[in-house]
Amino acid sequence: MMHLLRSEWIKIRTVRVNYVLGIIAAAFPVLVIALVTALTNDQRSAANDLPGVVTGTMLLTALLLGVIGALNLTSEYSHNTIRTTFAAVPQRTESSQPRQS
Amino acid sequence: MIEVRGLTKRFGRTVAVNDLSFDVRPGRVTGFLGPNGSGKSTSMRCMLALDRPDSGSALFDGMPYDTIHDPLFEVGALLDAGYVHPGRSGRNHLRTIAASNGIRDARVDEALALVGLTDVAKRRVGTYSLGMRQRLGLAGVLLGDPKVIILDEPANGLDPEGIRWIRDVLVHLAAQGKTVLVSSHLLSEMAQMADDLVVIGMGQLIQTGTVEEFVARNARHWVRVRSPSITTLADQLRAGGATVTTLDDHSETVTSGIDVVGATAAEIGELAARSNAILHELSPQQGSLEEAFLEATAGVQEYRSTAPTPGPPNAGPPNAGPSNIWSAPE
Repeated sequence: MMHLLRSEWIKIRTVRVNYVLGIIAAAFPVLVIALVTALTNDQRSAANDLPGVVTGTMLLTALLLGVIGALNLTSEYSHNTIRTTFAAVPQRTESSQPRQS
Repeated sequence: MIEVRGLTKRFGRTVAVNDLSFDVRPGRVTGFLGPNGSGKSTSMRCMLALDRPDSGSALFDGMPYDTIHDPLFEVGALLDAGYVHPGRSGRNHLRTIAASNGIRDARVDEALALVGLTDVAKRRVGTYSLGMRQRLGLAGVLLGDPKVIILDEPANGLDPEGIRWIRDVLVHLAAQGKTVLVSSHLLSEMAQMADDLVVIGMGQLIQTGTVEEFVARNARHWVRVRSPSITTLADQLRAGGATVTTLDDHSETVTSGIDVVGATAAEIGELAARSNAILHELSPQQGSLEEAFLEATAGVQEYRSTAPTPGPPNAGPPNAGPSNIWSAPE
């Protein structure tokens, strides 16, 4: 199973669009919270709004991470690499077992 | 060793592969031939468990593909060099495959060096030429140093230099004792690299055997004779029941000649000696693998132009064609 995860992790890291989406996903909440902090004068109301701001921005982050996942799976089909993937590991669920030969 | 037994695959009403059985022996390059749409790629996908056959099986050293753990060490397959993500570098493409079977990155670099792609390994595959993609695909096949190698049309899109390279690689791999199954429709290339042939048409096995056997069985045989007294000889041969075709290529330097079907070179030579005819040429001729292939698959071409296919020079009746091409040899 570790081999499979490692393979998928390499797949995600080695396509440029995933980097861009990942950076946006990570930077967006930080940016919004920084802006809110910088532009608010009323400390108390800012503190009250903070949970809303964090969960609101994290929602976009979660969506973007979902997009990364969806892109990786669909691109396997659109570029036919899914065939290579399945040929390399025909048993997707048992691949944690040691190799027999 | 690959054993295919009774492989059958239907798509709706179409029978793509019909009860296909053959063996692929180690230490030899086996050519997998068939007209377009004859089921070569479908068979290969079924063998690799990428398609589920309706019945039958393919065994690699006795094991179905989908029971092999880390199969890259046992079977290396390239179905299409276009199966790559254009945004990934060649090296990273191989790393994704290697990682899934626990192959380390150092071996990826070795494989890249083997196919001569080290210099472009970090470039995006989208910038590769078709020939470079074929090389990358072959690097993927070699990752696990497998015992069995399966390639679908590896020479597609390669220049003559690349075709020669892939031929040398496959012959070399077979010489190491590996089992090599390669499909191609470049028959002249196949003639030069394959030892054995598996010929299919419309999903069914037509013939298996060595290339020599296949050509001997299916191509025409004739004897070319050139002599200053060719007309006399031709008449005598016709009288003896042979089919004689006159060549019209004689010139100042080339004596006029005939192609003879139905008499051996020995018979013609003895006949000439008896009638005191001088012979300038007496050579047994045999058709090419291409001709043998077209003859063997004549009844099973799925897509065929209506224009007459240009036959070999002085086409006569084949004297060695099997009467029923569906009867596979034992």
